Amino acid sequence: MKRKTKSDKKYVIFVLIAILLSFTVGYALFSEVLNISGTATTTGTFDIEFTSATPAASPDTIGCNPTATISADKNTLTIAVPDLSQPGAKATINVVVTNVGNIAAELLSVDVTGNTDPDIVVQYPNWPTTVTLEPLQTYEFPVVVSWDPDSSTSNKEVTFTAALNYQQAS
Amino acid sequence: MKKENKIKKYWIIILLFVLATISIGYALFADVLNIHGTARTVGEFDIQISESTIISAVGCTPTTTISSDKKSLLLEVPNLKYPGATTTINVVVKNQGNIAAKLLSVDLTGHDDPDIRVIYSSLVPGIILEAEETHSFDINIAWDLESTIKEQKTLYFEATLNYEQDV
Repeated sequence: MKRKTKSDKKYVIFVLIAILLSFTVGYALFSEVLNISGTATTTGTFDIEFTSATPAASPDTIGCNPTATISADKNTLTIAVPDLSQPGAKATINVVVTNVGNIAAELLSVDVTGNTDPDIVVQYPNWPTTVTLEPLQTYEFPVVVSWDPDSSTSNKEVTFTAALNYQQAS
Repeated sequence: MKKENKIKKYWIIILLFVLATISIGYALFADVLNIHGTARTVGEFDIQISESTIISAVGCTPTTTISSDKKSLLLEVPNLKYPGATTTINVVVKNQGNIAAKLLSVDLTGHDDPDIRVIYSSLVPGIILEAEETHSFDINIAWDLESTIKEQKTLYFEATLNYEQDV
């Protein structure tokens, strides 16, 4: 009787251990992974360029032979007037700026230098800041470089710059 | 003397008989206990992406797609048109099983690009979802207003949510 009771106990213990092990295995399996993925692409391009710069014909350009060169990236225009021959000589460069991007732009500000010389006068237009340049829209303006008619100073050279600061239109 | 021997013999026989009986009795008094039973697991661990809703879209046209097994969500924003273009998508995760789950960790990639921002709100490890409970969070995707890129850019982003049984 005792032997049989002992083996019964062993059998029950074995079964209980087996059940406990199955719980352990079951616990390790309870995990899950959720995945969120995606792509986002910017398609807007913000690009304002000098598209042309042309010396005007006489009488807007007289007594000199100016040149206007646009850089390869079209963000810089270089105007050279190396030969203002006499007081009153002037060069007029007609400049065209184009919004070649697909985002509207506005001219935030213009920073100029070299436009205060009394002998060599550099004239810029009244810049239309806060006016919006829509995609493919152009803005044309002249830059006039002249030897002041009342000047008696010769052999003078002036360097001038103008930086047009465009921003995405709000 | 003969009588005594006979008595002895009888006693021996009786004793032998009793002994035999006890043996047989012992053999009959044996029994086997059997434990029979069945065990079945009814606990179910199942976390799913149950919903995704585009709450807002400015300067873009996003799309969202939940996989058929509801374990994956695909977001696509193919046309952020300008800096400031943005979209917000609400995502709902549900515990469809009957075992509580805990958000163990969240692994992110593509969330630190300087031009295209991907921001997850209310997605913090430690959140516990009881059976049938839901958890909602937002994903915001935007072309950063301060971005200065002039050419098209594509960003791939991913979030892996690791859930485990809550103990």
